[in-house]
Amino acid sequence: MASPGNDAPTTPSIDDAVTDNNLQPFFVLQKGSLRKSERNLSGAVKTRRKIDLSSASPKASEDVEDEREEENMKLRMEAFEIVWSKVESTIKDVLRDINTSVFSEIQNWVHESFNTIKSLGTPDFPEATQSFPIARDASSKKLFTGLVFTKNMEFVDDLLTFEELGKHLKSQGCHVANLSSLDFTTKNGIGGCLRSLLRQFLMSTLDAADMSILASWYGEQNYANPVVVVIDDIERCSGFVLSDFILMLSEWVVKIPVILIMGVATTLDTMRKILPSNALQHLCPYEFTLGIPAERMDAIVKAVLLKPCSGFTIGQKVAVFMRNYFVSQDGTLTSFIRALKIACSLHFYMEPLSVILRECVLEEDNWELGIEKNGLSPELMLKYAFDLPSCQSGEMMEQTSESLAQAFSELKRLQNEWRAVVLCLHEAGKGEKVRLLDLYCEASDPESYNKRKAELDKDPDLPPSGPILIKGHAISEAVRLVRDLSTAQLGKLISIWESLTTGTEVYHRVFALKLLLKMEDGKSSKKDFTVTPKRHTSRIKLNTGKDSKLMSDKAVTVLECMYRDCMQPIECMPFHEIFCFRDVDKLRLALIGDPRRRIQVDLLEFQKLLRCSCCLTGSKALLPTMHDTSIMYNLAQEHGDLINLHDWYQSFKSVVLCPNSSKKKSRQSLLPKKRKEINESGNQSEADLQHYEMKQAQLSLVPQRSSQFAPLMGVMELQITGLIRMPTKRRPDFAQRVAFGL
Amino acid sequence: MDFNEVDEEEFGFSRNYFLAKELGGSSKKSGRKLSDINVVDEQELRTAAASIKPKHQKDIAALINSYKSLYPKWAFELRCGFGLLMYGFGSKKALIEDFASTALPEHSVIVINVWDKKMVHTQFNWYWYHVPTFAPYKVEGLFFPMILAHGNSNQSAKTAAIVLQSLTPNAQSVFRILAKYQLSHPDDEGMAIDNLYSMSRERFLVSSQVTLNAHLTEFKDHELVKIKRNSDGQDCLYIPLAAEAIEKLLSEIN
Repeated sequence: MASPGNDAPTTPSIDDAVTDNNLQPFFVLQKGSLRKSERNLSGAVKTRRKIDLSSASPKASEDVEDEREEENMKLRMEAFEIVWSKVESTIKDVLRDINTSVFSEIQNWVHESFNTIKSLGTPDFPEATQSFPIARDASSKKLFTGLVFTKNMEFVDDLLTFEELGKHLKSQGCHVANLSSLDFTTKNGIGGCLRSLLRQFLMSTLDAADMSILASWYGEQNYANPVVVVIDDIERCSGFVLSDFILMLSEWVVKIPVILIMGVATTLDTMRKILPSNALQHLCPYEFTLGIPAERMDAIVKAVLLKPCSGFTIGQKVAVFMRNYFVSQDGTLTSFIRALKIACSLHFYMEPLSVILRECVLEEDNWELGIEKNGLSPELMLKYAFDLPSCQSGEMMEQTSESLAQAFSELKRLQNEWRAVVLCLHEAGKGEKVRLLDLYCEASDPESYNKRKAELDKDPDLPPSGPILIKGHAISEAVRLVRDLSTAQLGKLISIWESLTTGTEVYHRVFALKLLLKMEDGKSSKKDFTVTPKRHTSRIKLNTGKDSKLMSDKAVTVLECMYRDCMQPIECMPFHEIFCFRDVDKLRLALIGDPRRRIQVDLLEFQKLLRCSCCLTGSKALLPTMHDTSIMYNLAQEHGDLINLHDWYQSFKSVVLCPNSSKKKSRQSLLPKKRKEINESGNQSEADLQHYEMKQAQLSLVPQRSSQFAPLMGVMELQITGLIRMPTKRRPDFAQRVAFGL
Repeated sequence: MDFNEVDEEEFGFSRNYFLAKELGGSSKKSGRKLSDINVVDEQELRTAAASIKPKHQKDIAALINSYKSLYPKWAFELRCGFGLLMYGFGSKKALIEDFASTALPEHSVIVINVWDKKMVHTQFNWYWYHVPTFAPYKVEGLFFPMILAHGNSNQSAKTAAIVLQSLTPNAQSVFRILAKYQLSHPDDEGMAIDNLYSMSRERFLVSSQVTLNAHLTEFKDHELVKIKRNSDGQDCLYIPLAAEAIEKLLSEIN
């Protein structure tokens, strides 16, 4: 075949697209300038101009509008940073608190183990200065090993826990090094672990990885404190390297009293699976258990969404989505927190008045709306606030800053009531695994609130238990559990309720309940004293049981009343849009994405995106004007796992070159009859046609040339997007479909 | 997004799936060979393919332009600490670079041309965006072999040159030794690794076997070099390209 390249000097080169930069692994597109200060200066100039030109041309007013928008965006960004850093630090504190008791348990064990090792004797001077380990009896080769069960298959949540544990032990005087499973790879071998230890203990970057260096360093520390090595996730370590590491440490344990702490995601059996018996026999294991992810989740939800934290909150649909995401995705808090952060950032981007939350965080409990504090124009702010949909449905309000401040303080009060009742319900169901996030999802449901409200409006005398509780749901489960409590348990619960409701309107109901309980308690103890010997003991028990039933019924009634009267979800309050993020679809798209499905839909429905006039929207027919890769992908739908490249190529040609065939359904292009026709045309004439088209393409003369090259580009683009795989040596004539269906 | 629409789409796809399965058998029987269509030199193919005037240029430009309104939002998300993960059909290279230079003028921007798809989702704080552009994958496509080209499973000289140019001068020189050997010993099964090592060492291109191995790994990763065992049981290196392609490649990296 003649090389057409030689006689086509005008053919554009692909090099046009390939600048040197694109061939480099990376390049600097631009260097950051010091334009921030310049910008500030120009900003000042612009502001002046804004005043000068406020009534000038429409272009100028557009500029002013842009600047205002930019300024507001900057304020919202600042507000987001303040709010999110508050949320983040709250989460960190919560997780630290959860771990406190386990951490102190571990700390005590570390010190006890250290004392045991020391009781075996510290090396004398000649021993200490030798550059090899001291050999004593087998007991001197035991390594105290704390196994911390994380009960979490996804180690990503526990990284922070082990980091915090390290910090905690350091604060208690231990020398601590944190190793990760990445240090225990066969590629790095034991040298990798040792170098990491030296780096962390000696702050040294020595290439020589030698235990004697570590031993002499520890000697300089006067053998005063324990040396703790924390390995966060042993399931991910190479058993081979870990076993070598254990054997090495056990040899040196007299000189360097290392205490190991290892994170275990599954069970104790893991140790036996990972380590050979000669390594296992050196371990002297102790077990510790961290809180389960669901408990941590409850603690986070409580601190961030149910206690006054940042003022930012999420609507019911978002909460349900996040709960399901947590349960069905990877069950990690890390993903949950990421979802919350995306929700928060979306909220601040979308909601102009979200800047108000900045003050909410900074002033905490004393927060009161001060319009001037937010850098917004008061008129604009009022107009915007009173135009919010939640403000349209209710009673007409006077559009003043005072009435807005009043509305905000009412919203805050109602939210506090709502939170208090949710927390009371949670306390009631806590022991029986009623999850706080489930309660949150149910209690924040605006539909069920509106239904309840409508029923109560119809019949104000409706008993509290009437319309409200749905069997099997978290709220009714929590209420049911109260019914079963003994008087003593009830007393404890009511005390907790009392502290949870302090400062809210429901407090007096709880307090009344407490008094009643005290009275009943007094009566029954009197009864106990006045018991006559004649009275049957079972009768007394019966009475006590009756009393407790009576009391728990009363507690249930109070709880139901609280639920009926004080559980107004935030989404049913005016101005909630400012504080509450509700757009679940936006969150879902940003969080999960859907690349494989979407890219197929892009190709199959490209008309919807490109909105061109030449291709018929909604038509199933393939038109020659359609995007080439889209035609190729549509045709690929008609094939099985393997696509015969020849057939595929011919089908494409028939679509592009024979517009008449476009009237037929694309599927018909592959009917056997058609194939036969193509076959009959013979290979030679086919080759001639290809050659001819190639010539045409080189000379850039006729539009048909695309039938030759476009499918090649199309196949390549489908390959880049991961929808097909290239032919293999074994099957050189077939491409393989990767994605089937959406 | 309209969920009813999705249901319909899904129905359509499942229909297609079964249809595809049904046809699967017959398509496997399809004995047509790729070679029935004339295969041509890959470089020529690429040049010619690049000359095709893309369809819908205006519509594509309008679509890409429509994303400019999202620039402030993307900048906002970046400042919030997220990484933006953009997906959808079409090259996003130009779009992203335009975003970086127009919406982030105060920041330094580094472009990393990643050639593989290794991405660990959990280690990044991704924020997903569906941004189809329908722009041709011009640059991205350079690193993918094309069907209908001569020896489509092999790297073309052009792609090899691109990869080589991104390597160090020493690595290029090591490759040159191998290439010249292959040209001067067309009947050999390849060049013995020991032989390559001693020649590279003589020319001060590598100081140890480890350095040579690092270069070889790089070559192998990009399929510039393959290994086979010769009749003596020795591991030999060869470049999976035709003699002309190797000559062209050598002239390009010179």
